Amino acid sequence: MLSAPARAQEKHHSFVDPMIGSEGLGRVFIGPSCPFGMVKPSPDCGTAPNSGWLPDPVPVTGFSQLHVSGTGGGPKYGNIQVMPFTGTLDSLDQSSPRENETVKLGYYSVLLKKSKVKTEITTAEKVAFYKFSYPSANKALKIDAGFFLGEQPVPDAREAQQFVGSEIELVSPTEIRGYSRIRAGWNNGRAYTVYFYAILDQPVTSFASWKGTKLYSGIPQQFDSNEKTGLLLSVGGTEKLLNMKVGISFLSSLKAKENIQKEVPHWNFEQVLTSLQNKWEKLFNRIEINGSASKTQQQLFYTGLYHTMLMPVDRTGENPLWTNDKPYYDDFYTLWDTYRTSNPLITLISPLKEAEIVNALIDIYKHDGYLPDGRSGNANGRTQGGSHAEVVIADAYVKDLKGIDYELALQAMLKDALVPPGGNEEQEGRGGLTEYNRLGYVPFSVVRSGNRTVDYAYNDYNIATVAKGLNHKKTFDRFIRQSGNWRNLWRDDYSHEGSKGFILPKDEKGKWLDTIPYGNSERQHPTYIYTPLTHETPWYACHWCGFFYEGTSWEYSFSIPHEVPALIQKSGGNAAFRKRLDTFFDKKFYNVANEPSFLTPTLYHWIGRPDLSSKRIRQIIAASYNTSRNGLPGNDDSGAMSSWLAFHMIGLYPNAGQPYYLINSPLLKQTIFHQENGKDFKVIAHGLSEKNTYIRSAKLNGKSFDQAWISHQDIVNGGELVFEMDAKPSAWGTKILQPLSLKP
Amino acid sequence: MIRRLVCLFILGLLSFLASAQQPSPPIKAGTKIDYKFFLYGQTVPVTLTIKSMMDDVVLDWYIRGGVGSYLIPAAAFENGTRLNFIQPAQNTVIKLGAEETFALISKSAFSTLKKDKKLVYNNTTYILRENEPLFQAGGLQLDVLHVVGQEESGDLWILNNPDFPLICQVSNNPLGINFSMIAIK
Repeated sequence: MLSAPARAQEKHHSFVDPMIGSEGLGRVFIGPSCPFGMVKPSPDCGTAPNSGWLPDPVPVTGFSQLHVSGTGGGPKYGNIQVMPFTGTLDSLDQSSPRENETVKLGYYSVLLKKSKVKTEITTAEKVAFYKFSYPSANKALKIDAGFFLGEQPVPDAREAQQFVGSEIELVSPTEIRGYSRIRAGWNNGRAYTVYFYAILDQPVTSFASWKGTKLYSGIPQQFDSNEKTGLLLSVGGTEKLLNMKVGISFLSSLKAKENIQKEVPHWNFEQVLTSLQNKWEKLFNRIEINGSASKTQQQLFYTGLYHTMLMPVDRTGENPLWTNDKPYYDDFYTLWDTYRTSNPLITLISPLKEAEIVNALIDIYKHDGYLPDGRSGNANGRTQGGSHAEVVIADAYVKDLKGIDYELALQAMLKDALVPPGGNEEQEGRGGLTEYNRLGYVPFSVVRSGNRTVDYAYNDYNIATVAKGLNHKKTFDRFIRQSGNWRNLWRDDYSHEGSKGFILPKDEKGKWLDTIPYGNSERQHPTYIYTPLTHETPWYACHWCGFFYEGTSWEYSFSIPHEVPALIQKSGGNAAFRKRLDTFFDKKFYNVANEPSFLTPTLYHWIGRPDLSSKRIRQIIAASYNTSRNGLPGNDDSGAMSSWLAFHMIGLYPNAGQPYYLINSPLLKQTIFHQENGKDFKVIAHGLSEKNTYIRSAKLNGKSFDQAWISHQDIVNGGELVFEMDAKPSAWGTKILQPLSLKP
Repeated sequence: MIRRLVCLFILGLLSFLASAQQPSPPIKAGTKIDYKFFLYGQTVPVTLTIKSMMDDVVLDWYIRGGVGSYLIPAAAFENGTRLNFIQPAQNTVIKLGAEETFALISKSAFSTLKKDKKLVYNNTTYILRENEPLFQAGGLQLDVLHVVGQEESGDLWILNNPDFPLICQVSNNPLGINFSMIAIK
């Protein structure tokens, strides 16, 4: 009885476990970070892992200042690495095994077994703060301006980062400056430069610098000659403790110094940590779940929110490409992953923050020419399917986010839909656009033609949404018509596993392709048979060169979020669609580890069976999500997996780009949205238990509410959505189906 | 005299190298072969296990938790004329055609290779390249025959074993599917 109130007062951030999803496929960032924080210091265990970190016993190479979270493909960042050690300044390799690793929100510590140095890290927005506790006053430190993640011996290996240059200088006994310039990586972006300025609280007494593999004792600087550079430092004094602040900037070393002076003018580690925790707490307070929720639920929920707000990163004031007063965000990794759940969750937590993010996207269009789908290191790329900034903008528009120039946003969206990116389609815009606009679909000769077609159709719907609202009738007419283009790859007469109609490959002449040639042989002419379960990559084609990106026809044939009623009709009606969904889940054609199927468990709603949606969702969560280090079923992708879970724990699920949420049986007894507009909205599940997992009835603000969806505006208005739960399915939510907000 | 000494030395060296070659483990049911497949820039570890080689040859595969089999008909094992690089299918036995083999060439093709120092497979003439360096796999130095495609690219390293001409390595495959043996046990 006493424990519940005591726990209710516990800060939300204490439930965050940054290690959830750190192993296996999750690949989340485990170090300290502010919400949307630019600096993300963390251990690097070799150069291979995307997040830098790997579990013991892989040795720690050092601690670099920038990382990404939950990504697949080749790594990005891992710049400006520091490593404490003891002894003489004669070896560049100071990697060490570790013990006593402790990871909490905003805090990381470890004991390096080789040197016995305890390393503690916290961070501000643009400044990492290190506390090194040495076993004696014999203190040494390595600062590596040349390190980066994803280094490969093959020059220009696809998705590998490539070294361009570095520079380092011991400016004074307590100050070091320099930079690291790297290009490519996962998004094959242009070179980016990470400048740093490090300040120690005790003076350096001796030093050696290096360039390439050669050490130069007593030389305090190395200029950039396209080689890796760094410093080995001995630090004086009788203290065993050494504090270091590492300011980071994308503009200059002096700006990095200014960032230190502005953010952390003191040497109080605890103060930096507390400030970070308070920033997170302020955001977590926006969604308060019932204090009686189990510890596991609290951990899963608030860690989900935490993962969602690690990226994109706020680099306002750090844009090296153009100057203005607009917000600047980087590390959209990628909108293909995040538009479904991450962006909508940020909208509910902080519409102001989401509006900033949308404004940053529009500003990138204004200066770089195209909206990004992916962006990292100040460069657009890659595109995986559609041009999904359209969904993000339409989602902001239908949810009435303020402070966005939607006319300019529409222009940006239309650029994607009308102007081919001219050979640059891996970076931005729409690949196969000319063919899409001519044929109404992307033919098989263009890579990823399957998901490009269904994604473009949805993106066209997003354009139509904004055009309609802004009263651009001609634009609306065109794009609402094009939003039906998915039908052009829908093969009505194709049956598979008892279901009829699939998105399948078609050539330019309109011929369906059952067998597809592969390879470049002129003497052998092998083919493979394409079926709705075919994963042709990487066996027959490169990872990026299949009909669908990271999915099958079974998955993508459900991916018509704007015309589910038409999809049901095409599939043969309600009964056939239910059978199709059942087959999809029961035969394990569903891929829990990736985003294309995020909406699919909720599609039972459209046949009037929200109970079946809820049942599937509970099954998926029970089987695939937990609080372990392997607790995420796939790459977290900037919090995509985590935000999917958070929504379903509340009992709401967005259909991004459209102004409503599907209602599912919550996993939490109560959720309160303390909104930025000052109005609270509560979701309450009376009688929820392990047995009572179905909604028997609902009331919105005291009035009977018999629909399994709720408008965003209802939430914004504030109020209460109260469910009465039951042990068996009921007729609740079976009659008034989800709205189709636009009609051709 | 010097030339003769040099010849003797080279002969001696070749003889030494030949003796240094370790015979591959006997190929039998249960033999496991670890390959690395190189697929459009991605590396995929594949383990093949010979499930049976009496009559039909059945090769079980294992890839990252997935399993399945290839069945090479007895007729193809004897007289096949082409490789089929069909993708493995989960929990499925893929039965190849009567002229198709996977991961090995037919015994008759191998016999032709030994006799003529060339063979025709995949509608391509492959010429034996002699005096090649030894093939290394898992600490073993294997006796292999390296053949090179003539009309179009394609290099095969075939185990010098007339009873089971296993392909140890494929490179420059115009079909884009290459692999290399890592170990055999």
